[in-house]
Amino acid sequence: MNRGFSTLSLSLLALSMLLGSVAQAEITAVDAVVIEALQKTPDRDNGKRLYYACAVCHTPEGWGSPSGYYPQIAGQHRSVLLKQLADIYKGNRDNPTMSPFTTSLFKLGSQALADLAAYIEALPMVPNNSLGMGGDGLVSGKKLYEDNCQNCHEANGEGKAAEFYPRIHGQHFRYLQRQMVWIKNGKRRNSDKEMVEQVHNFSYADIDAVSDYVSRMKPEQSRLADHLDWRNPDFRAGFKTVPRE
Amino acid sequence: MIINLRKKLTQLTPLLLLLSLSPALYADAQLDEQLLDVAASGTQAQLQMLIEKGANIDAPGKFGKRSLMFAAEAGHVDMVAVLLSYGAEVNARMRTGETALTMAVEAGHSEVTALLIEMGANVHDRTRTGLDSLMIAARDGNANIVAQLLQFGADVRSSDQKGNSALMYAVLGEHVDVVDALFRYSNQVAPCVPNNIGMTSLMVALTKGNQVIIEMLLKRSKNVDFQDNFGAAALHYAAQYNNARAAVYLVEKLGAKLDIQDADNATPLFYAAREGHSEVITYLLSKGADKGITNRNGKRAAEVAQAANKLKVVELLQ
Repeated sequence: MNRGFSTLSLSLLALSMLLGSVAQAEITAVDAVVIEALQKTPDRDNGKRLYYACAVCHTPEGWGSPSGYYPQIAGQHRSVLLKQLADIYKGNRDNPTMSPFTTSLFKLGSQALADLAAYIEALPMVPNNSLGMGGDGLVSGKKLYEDNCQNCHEANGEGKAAEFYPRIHGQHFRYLQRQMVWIKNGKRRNSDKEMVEQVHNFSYADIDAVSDYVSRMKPEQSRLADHLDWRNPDFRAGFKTVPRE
Repeated sequence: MIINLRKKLTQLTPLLLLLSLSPALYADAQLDEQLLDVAASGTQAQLQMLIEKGANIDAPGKFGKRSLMFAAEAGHVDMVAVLLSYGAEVNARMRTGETALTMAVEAGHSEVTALLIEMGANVHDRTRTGLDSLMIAARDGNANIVAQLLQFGADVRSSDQKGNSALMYAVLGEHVDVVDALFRYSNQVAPCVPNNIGMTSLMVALTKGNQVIIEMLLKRSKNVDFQDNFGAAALHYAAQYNNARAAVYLVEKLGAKLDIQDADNATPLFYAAREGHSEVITYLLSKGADKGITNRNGKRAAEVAQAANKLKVVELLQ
């Protein structure tokens, strides 16, 4: 479940990162809850219970939809999940569907947040996420990734948990593409400043190319589900979700 | 004798069949009833147990109200999630026309509305009062639900039987965050579309006096000389409600006509005169408003002010 999380060291790093990212400004109460959640020992059963409502859209496996309308959240770093929830709660990221759920979660407190995030982080990732069109664009996609993204998201897109940089390998192509378009046109406002500048300089063809390249990065085999038909055993067969397309 | 007996037996067969099945039917009906009760005020575990026992998740109760509606109305997110995960019909309607979504919107349960909308609830459904979910959320000041509905294609241009749109309801309730959400999530919101008595959202906002909303609407207004059923335009309203800032914006940025006349031939100057609003009168006159115009009764603005005992402004209008 913990997958190598050293909670104390991570939380100290998290604290310093948050302090850095808000330019020494006061840590908001929400950030404090996130930091606290990163120090908690998660309760898997409570995480499973809390995840029930999330599964209606994100699917019991956390694999989202190939169309990218719902992202894959399975296997994502706990710190990243918590940061995104906090950003939605604080209104830094527009998501009217998720927003009321974050309100309830933050009301429940840091233990509930820790439980939920750890449960999602432990889910195995989809073995065949949706990909882009491929072709010549992949060469420029690779170059763009190495020049702009690799420094934070790492060589294989595994991100940096301690610095809140998300795991992006194995993500659905359309989701990656849409998020970058939203960063470019200002609709997504919670990204790293440096990334915003970089994406502003990307053309739409660049965004397609780099999204395609990233979608083809494969997480380690141990992080993937055994097979495409793997179903989360915590949920009954026939659990209905939003259309998976 | 034997023939008679056989005949009687044939006649009794349906009754005997019904009697043999009735305990099962009765038990099913009881389970369904329990499910409705649990959906309204039980727990997720109780609900799941009843479903596993065979309760019909779409069995209607009184007036066609189903378990999903009970759970949605009560704001039980976990139970709504369970029912949806078992395939409850998300768009079932009560005899009164209400759906699980309209009930959740009425009650302001934004987590429930989020789940229902994502699972395909029809955002255009209306209740018998003619209100759709967007109007209800706007009326009640629930900006988050307004945003959810707009993301799934709710129609900002639709109106109720009185011609009031979601924007009109938000303005009436002075819900700044709802007005903001309407403009942020839709580019089809029009502040100058009238209701059945010819009042636009801008006019209503001017009567309410919420400056933040007025400025949001002014920035997006186009046909500002539109007149209500009595001939009053937005500038008349700004004059009557002493809103000099709005009057300045209407005249200087949007080119509103200074001497536009209502059904009684009264210009905005008359409206300000009748109420004794010297600031607006001074501004209108500085821009060249004609104080010599007479209304249908042949009176000038100064005489109207005199009749209303607004002596302080009479001098300005002489």
